[in-house]
Amino acid sequence: MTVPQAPGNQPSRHVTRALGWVALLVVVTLTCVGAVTVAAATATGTERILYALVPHPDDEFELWSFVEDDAATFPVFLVLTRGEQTQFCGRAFAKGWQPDLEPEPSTRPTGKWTGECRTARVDSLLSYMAGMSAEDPTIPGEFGTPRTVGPFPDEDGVTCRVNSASRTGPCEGARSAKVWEDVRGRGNVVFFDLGDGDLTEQEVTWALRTVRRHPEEFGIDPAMPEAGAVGAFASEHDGCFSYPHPDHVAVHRALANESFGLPFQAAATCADVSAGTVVRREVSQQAATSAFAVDADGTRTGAHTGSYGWLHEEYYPIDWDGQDELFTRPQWFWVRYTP
Amino acid sequence: MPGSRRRLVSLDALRGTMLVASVASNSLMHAPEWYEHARWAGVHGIDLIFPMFVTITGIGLGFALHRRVAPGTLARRAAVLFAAGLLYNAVTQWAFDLGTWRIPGVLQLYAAVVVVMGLLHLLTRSWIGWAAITLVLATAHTVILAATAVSCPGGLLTPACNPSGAIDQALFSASHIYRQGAAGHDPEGAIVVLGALVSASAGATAAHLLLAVRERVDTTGRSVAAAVVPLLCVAGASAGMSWLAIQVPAWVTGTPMLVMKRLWTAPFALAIAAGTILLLLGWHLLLDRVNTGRVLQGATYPLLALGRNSLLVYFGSHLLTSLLRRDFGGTPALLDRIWPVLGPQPQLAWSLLLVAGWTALAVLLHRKKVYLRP
Repeated sequence: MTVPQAPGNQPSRHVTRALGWVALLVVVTLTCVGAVTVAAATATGTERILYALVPHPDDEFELWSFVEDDAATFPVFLVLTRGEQTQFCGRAFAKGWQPDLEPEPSTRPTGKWTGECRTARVDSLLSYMAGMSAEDPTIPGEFGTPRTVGPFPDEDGVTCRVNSASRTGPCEGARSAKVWEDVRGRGNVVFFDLGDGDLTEQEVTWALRTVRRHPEEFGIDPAMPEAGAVGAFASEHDGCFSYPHPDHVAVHRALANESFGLPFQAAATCADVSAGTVVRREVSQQAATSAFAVDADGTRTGAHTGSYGWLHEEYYPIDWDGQDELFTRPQWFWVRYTP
Repeated sequence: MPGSRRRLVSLDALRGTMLVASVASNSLMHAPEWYEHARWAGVHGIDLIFPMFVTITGIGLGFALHRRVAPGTLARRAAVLFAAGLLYNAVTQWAFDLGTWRIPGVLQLYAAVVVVMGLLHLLTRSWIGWAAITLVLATAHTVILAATAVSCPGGLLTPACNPSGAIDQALFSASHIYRQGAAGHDPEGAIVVLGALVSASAGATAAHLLLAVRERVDTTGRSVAAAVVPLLCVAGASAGMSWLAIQVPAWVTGTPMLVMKRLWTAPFALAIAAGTILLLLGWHLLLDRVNTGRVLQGATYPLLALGRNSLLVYFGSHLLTSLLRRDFGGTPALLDRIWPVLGPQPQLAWSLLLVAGWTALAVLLHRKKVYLRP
């Protein structure tokens, strides 16, 4: 059968043609709706592990847009150091902690690199997570008794922590970790101790590989599929908030240079960074407020401002619209796809 | 003969050019990573070839169906392509278990493209209509991908979270798609067919525009140069739409649309279409003139011969290479036995041998006017 070309000038032909276009648009629309429904049901139906790599316990918000309000991800916060080098554990403690405005750290730090400093910083992060979890039930925030796991193999001898300002002295192996599991199975916090201020790309690589090689020891279901890995903010140029902190840069370099075989590897960066794929995410108004709330009288009531207030002479500010601070509501990430 | 009825020699030459690239690519024993198929996002060299063929198919269908549509013929072609595709899958994977027989495939994709393009030619045979169809299909594909990405971790399309994996498994079941679903997508599945239709539609737009130009040339007597501006405009519009297909999702969701072959995204399809149309324009200016010249005719004759038997050469070369590389029951693959006798540059010799062999076959068949058509 052959369908000849129509002259196209009779009214009935116009009507037929118009109906044909309407039919096409209806079919295409229904196809779109059906496809998105099927795909979205599958996407949200499977829980996947998201590794959130933060160099110090207070960097989590830099990648918060990747973890908030998502029941389909099982976030594993890999905190790579204990943040023991902060000046606020030493002489600056009195400047940082303002007793009338913010909670006292769980343990009074007695100096940089001390056990008290480590403990105080770890507890601040757990407090932050609990605060954020109270507003967002998908965030892990109710933790059981922590477990120490390891030491894990380090065939290449890359793990080393030097506890001194001059970066000299004995190199302590740091091949163990401490694991906090959320009692409601919403995610985990893993604390490594790889050395605040001397974290290396190789150590970050080792930490992520170690967790993936020993999932059960880190409280991760080995059968659960992986979503990807995302790192905290770093920026080595002045395009936005300049933050070339070597520990942050180490996280970026590990995620950029090493292929972990994850579906994606990403890290927070400036909007104008030159990378193949740069995505913009935004922390919800509710989560940002929950983290950075400050009362009219200056009391730090937010999970971040309160828990980490003692680590800043005032409290860490947030940029609600741009990238002029370390913590921002709009967040940009470079993405590397490495299946 | 009216201009619109003359065979477009440039289209055969373009097909032939792509076939040389295809046969040569397929002959590579160890292609560098930048040339092998991109594992997910991004585009590598070999990712260009098949989508260019599909764009050329769209151009060819535009010419073939601009006067009439024969549904029976189209249905027969589609059925033959689909059946041949199933057989092709089984032979290239050497897997004949009905329980795991892969249903989607390159020939099946062609079959779907032929059917849909035929049906859409019942709706419109003007370049404006086809431009609108291209826009509608590109928008639909982008909406599906972008809306799915919103539900994915980080808003990112990955092998673990994309519509192809979900839809193709729902349509065919995991055991009947690419790598039994382990790859999380099917590079010739339903979503990819929609992307291929964007390529084919862009090609059809160029074809109908070229036809309109040729109709005008018949009355005004102008040369092939009349096609330059219109085809440049189609290529430019395709490139512009490609850019928009990347950027609009970024403006709306924050995540730009990926340019990638594995999901045959709209920006990828449209960029490939732009490039293919520019190549067509080049050959059109050279070969579709009234007086082409004997030297050029002779030099391009093998390409035209290849282009006239594109289906045979494209799939035949893939099939042959697949069989030569296959290790049957512990016996070394035939190619491994041939390799040592290919001289000091075995890869170069093998590639030249294959290209020359398929070209010779195509020339022979062309002389005898034997063409493989489903």
